[in-house]
Amino acid sequence: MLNRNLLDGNSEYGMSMSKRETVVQIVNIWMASDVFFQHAANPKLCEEVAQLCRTDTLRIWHDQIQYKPPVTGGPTAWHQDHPAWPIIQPADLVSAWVALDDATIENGCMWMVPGSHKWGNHQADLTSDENFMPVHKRPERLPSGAVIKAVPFEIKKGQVGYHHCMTWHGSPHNRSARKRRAIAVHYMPGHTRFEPTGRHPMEAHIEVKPGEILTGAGFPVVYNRNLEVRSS
Amino acid sequence: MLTQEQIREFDENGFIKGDIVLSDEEVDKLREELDLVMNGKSVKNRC
Repeated sequence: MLNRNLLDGNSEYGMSMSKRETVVQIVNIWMASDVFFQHAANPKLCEEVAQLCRTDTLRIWHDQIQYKPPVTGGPTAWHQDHPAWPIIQPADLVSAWVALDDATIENGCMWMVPGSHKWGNHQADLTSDENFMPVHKRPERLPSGAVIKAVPFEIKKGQVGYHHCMTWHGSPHNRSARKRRAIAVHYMPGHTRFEPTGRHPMEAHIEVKPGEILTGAGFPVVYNRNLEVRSS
Repeated sequence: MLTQEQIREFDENGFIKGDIVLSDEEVDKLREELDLVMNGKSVKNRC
């Protein structure tokens, strides 16, 4: 460490370093980049998400770059996705998370709690212990038989991981020397409705009426099985 | 295309790992595109 006495009286002089934990997040990169739009429309990803959603149509809700830089990459707290999206119902979206670097325990891969997507909305009670393992503040509210046991979700570069929008997940620091870049696309099945709460920032960008299927230029269709069948 | 076993696992756990869906070249393309966006460059109509 520097001996601060060397810097007496002159804050302009000498080495200085600040280290702040960060996660770079970019939402809706598909709107800025045709390459990322084509990624969101990747036929294999869309076909598989449609299988998991039991739907014939997929629209983009939004996408998200998550970049944890080396050493200073910060944590993403334990959470469920859908509680942040109350204006779209029902809560049965599926996300495709594709790694642009190997995501391992060392560089802060996601961790998941098996079965937690069936337990309802517990967002307000989610926290973590000193080892970043998930903790429920009021476990008596969990359904009987629920066991909170997180497992690492390591994903290789170019590989996809799928998760349900109610699954508990989080990712710790990246203290490794490697980047951890990923692109997640959150897909709406064909039946997702707009149910405004009057408080959500996205509502200003939505043109359909309450209760209608959420359509529009901001939520493009990227998969339609029936059209594929007709054109083939 | 996922197998019935993969779909069953997803229904039970709420997540599954899929295949490698992007080649190294495709990953490189997305990385380059991400760098451009993070540097404030416009990348519309480049594909």
